[in-house]
Amino acid sequence: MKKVVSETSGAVFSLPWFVAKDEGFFADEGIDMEFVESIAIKVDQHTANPEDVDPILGHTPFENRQVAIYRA
Amino acid sequence: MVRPESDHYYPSSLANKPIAVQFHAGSHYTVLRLLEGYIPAEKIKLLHYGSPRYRFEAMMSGEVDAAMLMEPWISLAEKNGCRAVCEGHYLGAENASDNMDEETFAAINRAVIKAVDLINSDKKRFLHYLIDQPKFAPVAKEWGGLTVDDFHLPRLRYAHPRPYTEEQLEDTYNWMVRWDLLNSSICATDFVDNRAVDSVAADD
Repeated sequence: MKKVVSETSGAVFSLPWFVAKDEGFFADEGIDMEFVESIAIKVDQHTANPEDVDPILGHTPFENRQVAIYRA
Repeated sequence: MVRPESDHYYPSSLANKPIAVQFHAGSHYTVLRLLEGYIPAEKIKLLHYGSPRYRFEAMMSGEVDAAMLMEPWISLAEKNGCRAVCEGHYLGAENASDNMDEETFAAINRAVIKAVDLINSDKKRFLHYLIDQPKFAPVAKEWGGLTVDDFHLPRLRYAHPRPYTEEQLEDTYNWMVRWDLLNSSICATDFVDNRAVDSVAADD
């Protein structure tokens, strides 16, 4: 089995991945899939300027190379 | 979406009104694509509120006139009397690291394709994943809870993964440059590598 670590965001986006894992479809392909949840973003300063916001957002597990793939 | 007592019934009245989004995410880009057909760019007033929970709460509290939401937050809002003033769809993309090999990526996508087919055969069976997610369930409970019967199923669209076309990439790149969301000195092909996805499409 090949280990793959994937970031998950909102379940509406990750639903096929959750189902693929729980139904054994990843395992059938020789993939040992592990999920790491993305970080929720709560902000106190509600800026109107996109340049004030780091576009990485909650995808830090991907940026930190904890996961190999994410979806958005 | 807007709260039940809102005077907003269609997008034009949202000119110069605060709208909660998450900058650099789907809620940001989709709301621009939706509103630019109704409101001049300089009158679209977006505020960064982060994740959907905080956008939903800002809308319900009246901090903002509207919030850009996705499922299951849309269904929770509708159950609480809120309404959509416009609605759009966007493409979800898989973003793989540069050390993801093509064989592994193809295996992942074969599994995902099976899951997509299973979901589409009976969407209600799988809605518990949306309802029970930890970032949603506690908030939903505060707002009356959500059941599988509260969803509008055609809104949930799952398709087999496939690469987007060069034309789609170019059009999106030009749109982002026009909205000053991307530095025009960077070419679209500088930061997108579709090789792994292309190999999946070739296997179909």
